[in-house]
Amino acid sequence: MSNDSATGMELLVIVVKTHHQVEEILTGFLELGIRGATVADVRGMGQIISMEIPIFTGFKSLFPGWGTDTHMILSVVDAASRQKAVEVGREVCGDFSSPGSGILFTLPINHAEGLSEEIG
Amino acid sequence: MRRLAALLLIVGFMALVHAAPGGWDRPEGARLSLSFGFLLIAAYLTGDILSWIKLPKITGYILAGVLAGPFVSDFITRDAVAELKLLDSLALAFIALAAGGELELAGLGRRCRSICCGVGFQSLGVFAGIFLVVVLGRQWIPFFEGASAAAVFAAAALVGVLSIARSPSSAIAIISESRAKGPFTETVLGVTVIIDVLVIALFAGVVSAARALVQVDAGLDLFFLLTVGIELIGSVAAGVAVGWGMSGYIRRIGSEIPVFILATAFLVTFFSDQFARFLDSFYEIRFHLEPMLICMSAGFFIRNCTAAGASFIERLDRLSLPVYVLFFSLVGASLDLGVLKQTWLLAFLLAACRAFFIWSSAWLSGRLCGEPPLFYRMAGFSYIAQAGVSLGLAGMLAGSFPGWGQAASVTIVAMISINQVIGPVTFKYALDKVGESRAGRESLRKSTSCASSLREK
Amino acid sequence: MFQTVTGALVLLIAALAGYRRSFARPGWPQGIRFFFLTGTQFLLIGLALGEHFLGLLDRPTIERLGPVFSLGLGYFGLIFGLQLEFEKVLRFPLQFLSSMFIQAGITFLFVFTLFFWLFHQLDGSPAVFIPALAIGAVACCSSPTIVALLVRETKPVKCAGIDLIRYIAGLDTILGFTLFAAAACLVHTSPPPLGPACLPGLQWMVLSIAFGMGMGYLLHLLTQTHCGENELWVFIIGIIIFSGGVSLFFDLSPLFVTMVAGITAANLPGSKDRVFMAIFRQEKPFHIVFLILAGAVWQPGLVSGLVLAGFYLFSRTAGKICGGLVAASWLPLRFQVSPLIGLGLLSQSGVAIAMAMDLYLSGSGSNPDLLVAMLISAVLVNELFSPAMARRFLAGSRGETA
Repeated sequence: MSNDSATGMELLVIVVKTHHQVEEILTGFLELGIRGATVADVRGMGQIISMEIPIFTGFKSLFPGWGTDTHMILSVVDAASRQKAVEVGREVCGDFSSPGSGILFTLPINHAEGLSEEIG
Repeated sequence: MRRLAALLLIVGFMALVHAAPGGWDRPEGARLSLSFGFLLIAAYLTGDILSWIKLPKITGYILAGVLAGPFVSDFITRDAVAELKLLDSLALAFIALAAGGELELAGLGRRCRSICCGVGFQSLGVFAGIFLVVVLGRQWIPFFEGASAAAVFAAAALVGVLSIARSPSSAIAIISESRAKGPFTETVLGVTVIIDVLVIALFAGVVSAARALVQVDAGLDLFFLLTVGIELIGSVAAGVAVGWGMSGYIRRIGSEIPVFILATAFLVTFFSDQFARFLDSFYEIRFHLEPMLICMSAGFFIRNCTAAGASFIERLDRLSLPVYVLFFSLVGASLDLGVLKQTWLLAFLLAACRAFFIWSSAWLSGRLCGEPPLFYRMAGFSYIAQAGVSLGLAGMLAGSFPGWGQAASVTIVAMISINQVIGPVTFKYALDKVGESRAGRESLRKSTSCASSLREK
Repeated sequence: MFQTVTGALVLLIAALAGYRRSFARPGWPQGIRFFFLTGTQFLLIGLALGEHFLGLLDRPTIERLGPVFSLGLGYFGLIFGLQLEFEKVLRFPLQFLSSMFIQAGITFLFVFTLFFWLFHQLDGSPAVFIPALAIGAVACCSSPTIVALLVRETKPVKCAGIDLIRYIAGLDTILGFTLFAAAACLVHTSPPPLGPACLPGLQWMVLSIAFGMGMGYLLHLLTQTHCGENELWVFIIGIIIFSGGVSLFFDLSPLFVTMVAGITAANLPGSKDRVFMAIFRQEKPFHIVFLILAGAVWQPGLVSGLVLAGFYLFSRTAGKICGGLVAASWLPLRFQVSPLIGLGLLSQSGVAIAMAMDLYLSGSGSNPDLLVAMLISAVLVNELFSPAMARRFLAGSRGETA
């Protein structure tokens, strides 16, 4: 499978546990001039399998999909900025080697529309 | 505008509580909780609002404390300030951990020459300058009326030493708030921390010399100096031990690290105080380990000698905001405006002289070390703030030198108050100008990209 | 001071270490599994740390840590209130809501009436109304923990009965907290703003609601625009502490004031979900702190406490079963809910403990120690048999969907 994308762009995906890390990563992206990113609140497999036992929050637990505390950052970056963006992720989350520290990967993009221009 | 509305709402609440029948005559726990909760929210909002006009947030925290404090609205009474002292000590210990954790050996190594020159020039320059100002201006200083020449020299030396003192807490708070990083920041932090530790030893030496000068039958108390030296070394050693323990916890257990850090900061303060009391009551030995130095050493050790450094710094950063809000608002609430009112002119003049000598010595040392011109022009603005240690040391003057000691202590506290308010503003200004704060980096990047696009055209 | 610090440290370590070990242990024997899964063993740990054994958490220490515990109460009230978005409450059939009030109301009346009669026999003064009211308030609350555990283990087919008991267990605490606040307002000694002649209890109740709404509105203002996580924590900690302080200052129930704050914030636009998720993670450590604290003040040797506990258990169980019968019969036939629904609502655990500690810390009523001993003994026994009762209800429920 080729690692080169037709557009020279890559989709950077970072999954992190805390909102604080999201903020730090987005700040780092802005400093690199990466102006576009999407953040989604998601639930990890572990969270779905192990149901939280409520003490005072029984009512909330009646609604499926509550309690998302994992976040996924999606950003389309050019191949040149990819490494720096990955470094930002590593700086914030560590080297991703310990369990629960998050994951990071990139995918080549063959076609993209509607992307904003990078700063500088 | 929402933030302003929220601030008005909570002030309104507090005014309502304050106007309640029976006044503040309530259980201590109620007063404490109200004061703490009010300070946290109101101070943060004030800081946020002040940041709209480009002032540092900690100035807002201090201002909120002043306005809420016993000299203005009395929302936070003197008793409440005293009751919150425990939290204040906890916050200071935490900030000391952060300050130590920010000092990276590699960075210190790179900036070693600048830091050493900065420490040397500023210590000598400020001391000599203030000493001369006080000696030459003694006829205009009210509390020197009738004082002997020996007393004047002693007082001048003590004021000189206290003028050298800095505020690592303000420095680290501004650096954290502005997300500053770079060689200028490293130098400022290194100089600030080293000078603050040096002042403790210098003060002990000068107090001993001053006593010998003023009291005919008193010689130079070498035992006292030795004790201070051992206290400093002991504090550093204790700090290394604490740092080793903390890094072990972070590596092996690694959970609830923020709570663990706070608990450690608290325990260091608590047990150093208990240890001093124990030695005093059982063995009549006056020996006090300095909690701030312990925590600074611990932070430094974890950052530079263990694998847990990065994790430690990240957790500290997450906790820092509520701690800074609480600490600086309490600083504001503790500012004795009555004292400032009495001696404002003299304090203001001393503060102005101090600022001049700091700026000149920083300019000179930067220039001699080959720093970029912008660095040595801005360096002096970074060292104005004073707090904490200097206040404690100033408080000792009244007890050590009856007569002029009390008045000198009052004047120095007033000077420190002025520097506490102005210092963070000037430091932030310097960081923005040299381009090492986030705002500074943004504007530098924008101007660079404008320039490059103009060139392309 | 040393004792206070040691006590606080022990609590902290036990809570932070304990919550990771509790609430998720599938391998235990069935009979006592739920006892440990709900963390109730921390009551016994608290007893061991209390003045009867190790003495690390003696009365003076607990009293000095009082402000900290009132903050914990504020936390519980806030997190409970934050769930209660009206839009979500009304998403369920309205009959569920009325069933909840019927069931809780009947339980309260049962327990209140019996205890009022009992206290009146023992002490003829009209002041016994207040402790009876407080006990009735505690009794009408149910804990959702056991039901959640059973649903996770047995994985029954989704049906109206299970939804109903989860709904009731999640919400009936509103009535409990409100009645509890009413008891606190009735026993208030300070003169209210409009003077003591003009329904003072009602005035304090209105003030409690007003303070709570004010705090909730403040939380909404602070979090309406996006704020960083550090900022969010400053606001949350500040609101909880300030609300706790206001409640303590005016001798109001922190549980109720912060519950109203939470309800207000939940029903105004803002980052309420973020606030909820941020504080939700601390639910179990706080719960464990309160369990240990309750265990430390518990006097298991108080015979009168044990007798009253038996009386409480009997009256509450009867109330829940009757209340459940009436509530089930109130529901239209299409819901097909088992009349034994009260059996699924016997568990109390965290809610009762929080209210017991509120009672203890406020020091209101003639004998708070006795009442707290009664409640804790009752909760301990209750958590042993309520899982079996709930399982019986689930087995009896029919498996049709609602």
